[in-house]
Amino acid sequence: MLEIDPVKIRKKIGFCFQEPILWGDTVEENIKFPYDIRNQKTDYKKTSVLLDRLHLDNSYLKHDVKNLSGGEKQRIALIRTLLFKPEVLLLDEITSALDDNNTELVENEIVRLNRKGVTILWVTHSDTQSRKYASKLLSIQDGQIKSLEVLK
Amino acid sequence: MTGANISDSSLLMASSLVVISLLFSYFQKLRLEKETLISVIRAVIQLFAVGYILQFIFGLHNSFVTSLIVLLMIFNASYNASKRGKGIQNGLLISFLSILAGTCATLLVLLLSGAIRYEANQIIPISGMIISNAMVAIGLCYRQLKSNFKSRKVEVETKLSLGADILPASMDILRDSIRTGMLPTIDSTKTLGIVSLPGMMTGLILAGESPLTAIRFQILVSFMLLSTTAISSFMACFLSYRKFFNKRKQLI
Repeated sequence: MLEIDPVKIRKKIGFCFQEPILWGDTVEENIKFPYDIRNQKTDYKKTSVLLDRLHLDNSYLKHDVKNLSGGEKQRIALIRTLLFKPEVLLLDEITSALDDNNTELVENEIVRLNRKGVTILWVTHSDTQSRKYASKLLSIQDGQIKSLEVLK
Repeated sequence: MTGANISDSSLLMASSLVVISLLFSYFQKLRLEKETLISVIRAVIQLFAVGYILQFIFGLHNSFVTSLIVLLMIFNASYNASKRGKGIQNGLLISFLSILAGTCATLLVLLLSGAIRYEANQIIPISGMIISNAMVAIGLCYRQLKSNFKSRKVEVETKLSLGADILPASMDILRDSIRTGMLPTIDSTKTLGIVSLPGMMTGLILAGESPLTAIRFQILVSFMLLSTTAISSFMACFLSYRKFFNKRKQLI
């Protein structure tokens, strides 16, 4: 594993941070990034499908990243990660700062991806959330593994 | 043309200006007397020494010695610039190469255009201006690089996580740092003649040259400083950003 070029591995593993970071001026710059690093043209059709699914629309592409709510930022960061479907998706408490509505949107998208064969490793503090979606649940307390449950 | 010629006695009389500063310090209890005296004595000794050395070198008419002196100046400047970039691996070498490239490219254009000739009394002062400007620019670049890689850590890591190689992940930071290195030169070029009459131009006018000759030199100097800061900043940033990552392409 350590022999492989990390850049290649990272392209197959998506990672969403607890606090999403959007850079530059507009949302579009962020959407273009995954395409730019692959020397590909931005696929606006795909972008708009993803925007739609997370209850955003094409007009957001021109939005200033500084004027977005936390929920919008997290959804756009998720889209940025999903433009090229990863094999594995790592999520680090991505819904902990979101309201119920945003949380539901994000959760639905993740469930959909999982059904399509994407492996999800989801770190969360919410017991309800983990029990609702996980097939295997690894509980950690005070840095120690507490239990491993197979739920589904 | 009659230039201002400063005799020893007028220099001595002018030293009373230092006394004014000393009196100020004494009566206002600024406690700067000792430092003022030391700095003045140091300056006088250093300048006289440099004056005699330059006089000697200019008299040699030896382009090998001239080149050696320029290299020595570049080394000194790189050492100073690399201190700004503490923590950047090979900072001294990177600074040396960047300043060397900036200086050589600029000198080459000046020489080929016939603006200057490869003679000690032209090459050394001109190189001095180029090198010190490059040194300041690189120092600014390093500082900006370091603070950017620290404050925008999560941004870089997000880009890496999306599968970007270290160059695209650092691109915005590199651009910002190069801009930082170049801006002071661009800003001072903008205000030339309006806000400041640069030392070199003042010197020429004092030496008896007509202001029209002096501005020609100043225009030349502005051109060469712009090219030098651009080349040196660009090189320093692009040679050093890798050192912020480890072999596994993780931000350190």
